Amino acid sequence: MTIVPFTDEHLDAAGELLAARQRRQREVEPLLPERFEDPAAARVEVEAAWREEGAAGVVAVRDGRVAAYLVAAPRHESWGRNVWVGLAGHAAEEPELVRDLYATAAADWMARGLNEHYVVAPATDRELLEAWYRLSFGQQQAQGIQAVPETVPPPSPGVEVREATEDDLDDLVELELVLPEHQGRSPVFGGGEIPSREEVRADWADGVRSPDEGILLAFHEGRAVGSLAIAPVERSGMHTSVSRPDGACILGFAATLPSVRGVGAGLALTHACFAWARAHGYGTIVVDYRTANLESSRFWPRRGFRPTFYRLYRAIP
Amino acid sequence: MRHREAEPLLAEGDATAELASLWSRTDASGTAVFRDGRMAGYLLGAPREDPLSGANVWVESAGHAADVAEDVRDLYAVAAARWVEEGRTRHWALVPATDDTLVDAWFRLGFGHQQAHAVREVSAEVEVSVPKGWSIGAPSLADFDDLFEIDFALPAHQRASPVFTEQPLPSRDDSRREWEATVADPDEQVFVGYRGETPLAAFSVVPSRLSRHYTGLMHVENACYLGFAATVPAARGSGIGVALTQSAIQWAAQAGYRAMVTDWRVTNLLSSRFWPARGFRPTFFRLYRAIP
Repeated sequence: MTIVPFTDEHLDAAGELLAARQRRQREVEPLLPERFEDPAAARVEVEAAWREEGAAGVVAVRDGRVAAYLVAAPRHESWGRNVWVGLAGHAAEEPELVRDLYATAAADWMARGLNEHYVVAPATDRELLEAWYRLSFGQQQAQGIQAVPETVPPPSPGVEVREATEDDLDDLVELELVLPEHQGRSPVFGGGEIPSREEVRADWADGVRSPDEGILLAFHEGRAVGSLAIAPVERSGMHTSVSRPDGACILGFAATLPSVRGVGAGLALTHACFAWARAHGYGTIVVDYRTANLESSRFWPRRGFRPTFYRLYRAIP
Repeated sequence: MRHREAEPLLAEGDATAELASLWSRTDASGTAVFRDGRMAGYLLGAPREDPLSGANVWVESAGHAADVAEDVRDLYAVAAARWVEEGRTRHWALVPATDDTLVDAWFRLGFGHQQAHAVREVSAEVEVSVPKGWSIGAPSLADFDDLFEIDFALPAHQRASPVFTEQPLPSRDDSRREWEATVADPDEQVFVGYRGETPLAAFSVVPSRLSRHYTGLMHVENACYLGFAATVPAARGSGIGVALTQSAIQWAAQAGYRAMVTDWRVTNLLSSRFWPARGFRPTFFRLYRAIP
């Protein structure tokens, strides 16, 4: 087995490998898009990753053919001195090969001063994840999926959920700030700038006016205590490429005030979200959350979401 | 107890004494979880004095246990808030390697593998297959230039991708002093692989009591520690590493040891494949998370 730099001539083989990975993943999670089981469609995704600014890659060649590939590129500086192996950024006949690929690729990244490494890997492939853990990566983010439930129970007594209007913008702004504050604390220690109240308000105003977004508010004892946003999955910058199902919506934001957690507001919002999705003709819903966020990493799987992809992270040193 | 059911070579240990020792360390802190009025889990961390580790906290081998693995995430959440507040942003945890659920709970806190500690039985019956053109013998200071190359090989390899260790490279003076001490040390047994007359690989075995790692819950009764193993790059793949391992295992059994312990960087592709293939079973994983 030899490791060589990725070039255009490897795109076909990489498309085959990614299509095979998608086939394996869809055996476990059939809601993921089928079209990327076609090597030609998968090749398009690999090529898009390969054409990103600053992209570089490597392939493992065994017995004269490509047995694994890895393509990565830096993203915005808000992610640190970073490099990303995105959704279509790697596939291998044997998981262990990605360790060899990473060894070669990471030497180049570090020489370029890129010491924060992100990898998006199928959550359904335990051996592949293990290979990344054994490269000192830990979990950071999960993408989840489920079919929109046919029916949902009514909200808990004392909790009311309705769609928000422009009169609710003050409440929406307050609730928006709950999440970054929570995720800035232990054990997430999420970085990133907290947007200004003006920016937040403008975003929510757009959402409330948008005919294809659902902005829901939960009330308890007459007070807005939780919010949730749902939109077509095409609005998502994370659920793209091989992770974007057809006819899906994204539960893109949800927060409840810490003081009322446990009264059923989050559950009522989730059920109202499912009902909204069903009423708007969606068959599939996706979500994502920080895996170190204890509340959300427990809440969403209990609501039926199954992990599809994990974003893994390693900072050196 | 659960850990020893999976790996009986681990010593029974005195958990209470281990905990008391941890708790007495400078700047130790910890958390406990209670359910139905009884303690259902705990986590203790303390910094190590190590210039290479930066502002750190270590959860040592006795530093955590829980009835329910998931509770470790809550324990860490509370403990780590204090650690980060104190500026200690590099976190290490020694976790039983045989408990997949517990290890997974740490992965879901952003930790990844860094080091594996492992054990295997030894046997005098093992066959030593020395590759053609090679022999195994003791080190000689007359060969210091070659021994220095062997000494240099491991940290040089581990400073490179994908390990990226911060371990410094040895100077010739440091290496010479080390080899002089090694040759004079009756406790240390060194196996050198010679191709022709040239030493190109060396393995070192000492009583495990001399290692700071294999104490407390990581202790194995009557074990020796394979504490150093390196082959110069040009000789890797020759089979001399396998032969040196076989020699060390055979010698250990003849010397009266019951078991051998060793450890490796999990990100070191060569060693993380080599040692499990030689029969070593992981006992503890050292997991690591750096918070930028």
